[in-house]
This record gives sequence, structure tokens and C-alpha cells, in this order.
Amino acid sequence: MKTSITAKCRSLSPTSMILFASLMLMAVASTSWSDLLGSWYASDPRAAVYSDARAEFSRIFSQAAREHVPQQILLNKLREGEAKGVPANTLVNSLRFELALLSRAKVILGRAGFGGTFLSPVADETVKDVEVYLRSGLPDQLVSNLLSASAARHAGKQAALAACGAIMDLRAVAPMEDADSLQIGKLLLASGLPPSGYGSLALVYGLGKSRGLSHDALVHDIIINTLRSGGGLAIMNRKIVSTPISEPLPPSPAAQLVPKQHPSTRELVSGKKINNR
Amino acid sequence: MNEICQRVDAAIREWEHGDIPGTQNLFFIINHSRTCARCGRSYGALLPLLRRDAGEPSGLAPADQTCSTDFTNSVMRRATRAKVLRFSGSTMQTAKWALPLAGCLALLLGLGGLILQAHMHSTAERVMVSFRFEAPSASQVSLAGDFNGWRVGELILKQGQSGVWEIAVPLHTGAIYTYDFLIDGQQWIPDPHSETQVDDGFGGLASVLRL
Repeated sequence: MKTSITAKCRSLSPTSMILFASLMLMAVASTSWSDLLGSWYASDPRAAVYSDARAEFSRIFSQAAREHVPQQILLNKLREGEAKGVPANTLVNSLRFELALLSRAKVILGRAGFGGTFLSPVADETVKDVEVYLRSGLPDQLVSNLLSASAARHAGKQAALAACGAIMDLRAVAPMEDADSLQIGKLLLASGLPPSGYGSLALVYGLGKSRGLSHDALVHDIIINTLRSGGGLAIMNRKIVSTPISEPLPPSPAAQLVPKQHPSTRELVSGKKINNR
Repeated sequence: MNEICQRVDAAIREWEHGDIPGTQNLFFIINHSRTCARCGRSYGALLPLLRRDAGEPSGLAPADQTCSTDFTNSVMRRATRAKVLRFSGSTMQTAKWALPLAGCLALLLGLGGLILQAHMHSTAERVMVSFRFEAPSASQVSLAGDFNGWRVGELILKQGQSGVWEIAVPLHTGAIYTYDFLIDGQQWIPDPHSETQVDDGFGGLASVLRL
């Protein structure tokens, strides 16, 4: 038997062997990418709770594969639902919604010129970023406009995503018009500030509110005017600090979303970077 | 269509069948096609060929002088040497090494892409992120998020002073993470200190961390 196999191998030309090896590698690779759902069922004992919903999950994952949506993000949502003990039908609906968000994110990124083509596929992390922005309530058009503005300025993907993130954080504490959001985002991109500093706008806003400044004064006089005149966060801070303290306004509805059952102090900032490794 | 156009049609039909009209007739057809809109539309594309056959310089070599017999024979000798591969009835002419080379290139490009993607992720800065949660009455606080595949019980916070629970987790920069705290293995609570919280799609909230 061994001899005959060896003989057959010898009879294969190098061309055929290379082709065969390539096809095998591609087959193995495609199998490992496409069977995330199966691996989850096989490896996680708690996944058995959702055995009745497997067909529906498979349909959603197949659709994701057809639309070239990152399935790993869908799997994470599945795991989150499982960890939180979500009923099967709720989980199915959530996955459908997640898939829709991811598809929208891919379209927005592609339209803004940040990949999404066969030759330059968009990274899963980038799709995830945009998905979170959409989930937070940022309108598609606003995200699309910010990404396009960044592409037009050659500011880069990182700056574009950071600007979207800054607007998301700002809108979490300050109800804002889309026009103002877009203006601030564009000014950030043109400001020359490092993208890692964009996120401080929400803190600046919080500081201003704590000193009793009105929403309009903060958004237009402090943030927009400072950015427009080429200033940065330090000038915004100086303007706020130099403003006489008035009676603080009641917190915005968005700020009231923060649960109150676990009070804390500003020193206990969670999710804070403590050192580089 | 007038009589002249009919004559032109007939002459063109003859010409297409290999009967080359006399030079005078060819020039007649050419000149008429230049002035008659109908014939110009129909035969405009043929004008260079007609001019060639009429002996007018047109950029095209006369048909019988396109290439020498020696050159044709040389080309045909080379053509017969090329291997012919058959794929389900269709015929494709190719060199012996072209297909395996294309296969290897495709494989290398695919592997290169995967390696590049892994490299890009590994070169993202890795930082230690401290998560803190104040829950003096809790007996256990754990953390789960998409950074650990939402595996419960993997990241247990340590209780410090004044009921503050804490854990440090290494995470890559340039990414967005969603996470929540699990109190006593029962209650999921978003981080009160996170800058943003989003709807988790299950009726609760998920904390957002941008690094």
C-alpha cells in the first residue's frame, strides 16, 4: 500500500502537487473562518441552552458571510447574550439588529473611502468602532459626513474614528444638534490636535457645566469658537476657568442615565490607562 | 435612399465578398461616404480599409504586405510549441509555468495578508487598563466584555479598601471595547465611570471604552 501511494505521489507533477497543496490550504482556511458558530456550540457547554435557535443563528451567520460582515463581532454579541442569560428569541432579534448595524457600518466606511473593497478589506476593528457609534445613536449621515470630511482632509482613519468617538462622548452628556456635532467634528479634524486628545471635549463640557455655564455658551462660545480660532483644549479650559462661577444647572437627561446605586468619586475613574506595558 | 446610395451598397457588398472594385469606384464610394450622412454612418468605419485598397495612404498597410511569409511561419512554429490545456471543453493556451506560478502568487498574497493583519494587531500598543467598581456590600464582582469574549468568571476583581473592587487588564490601543460588571454572579451593571454607555440590545446597557 505504502509503495503504491509513493508511486502515485511520484507520478504527480510538481505543478499538480503545488495546485493540490494550495487548494487544501484554501479549503482548511475557509472552513476555519466559516464555522465560528459550530465552534461556539462545541466548546461552550452553556450554548446548549440555545440549541433550538441554532438554525436561526446559522441563517444570520450565513447572511453575514454573504455580506462580508465580520462574523467574530456577531459571535461576541452572541456570547454577551449568553453571558447575560438572554432568552433565545431576544438573542435572535438582537443578532439580527447587530447584523443590520454592521452592514450599515460597512456601507458607511466604504462610501467614505475607508476600504470595504475586495482589494482593501476594512478591518474588523474599524467596523466594530462604527457599529458602536451607530448603536450609541449617532445618525448614519453624521458618521458618514465625519468620515468623508476626514478622508477629504487626508486626516486618516484613526483621526476620523476619534472624531466620531469624541462626538459620541459629547452627545452622551450634552444633547446636541447634528449640525453642531458635524461642525465640531470637522473643526477637530482641522485643529491639528492629536486624535487621542479629541475625547477630552466631553470632560471640557463637564467642567463648564460644573461651573454653571450654559449649553449654548459651552458649545458655541467655548468649544466651536476656540477650535475655529485655532485654539485647543488648554484655551477652552482657560476660558472656562476664567468665567465666574454661577449657580450650577441641573444635570442633563443623558447624565441621569448613569446608575446611582454605586456612588463614586472622581479619583475612582474606571477604565483608566495606568501604565504602558 | 437614392440611386447613388444603392450603387454604393452594391459595391460594398461586392467588396466584402472579395471583389475589389476599381480604384475609381473605390474613390467614388469614399467620397460619397464622406458627403452622404446615411452612407457615412453605414460605412464610415470601413473608410480606412477602402482607402488602403484604393492605394491612398491611410496608416494601414496593404493586406498582402502585412507580414512576410517567413515572419508568419516563425510565429506559427512558436505557437505550436505552446501547451494547450483543456478545461471542460474550452481551450486555453498558456505557458507551462503560468498556472502554478499564479497559484503560488495567490497563496503568498493570501498568507501575506493574514500575516500583515496579525502584525498590525500585534503592533498596536498594549496598555494596562484599571477597572474599578465601588460595591461595599457585594461578595464578588467580575468583569466581562468583548476583550475576553464575555467569559464570565475569568476576570474577578479584587476587593480593596472602602469596598472598592479593582482589576487591571492588558488591552490593545486604537480599539473600542464594550463591557459590564457582574455583581455576585447575578446582576449586570454598566461602569458608572465610563464616558459612554450604549444599549446592549438585550434591554440593558453596555459600557464603552475607547483606547
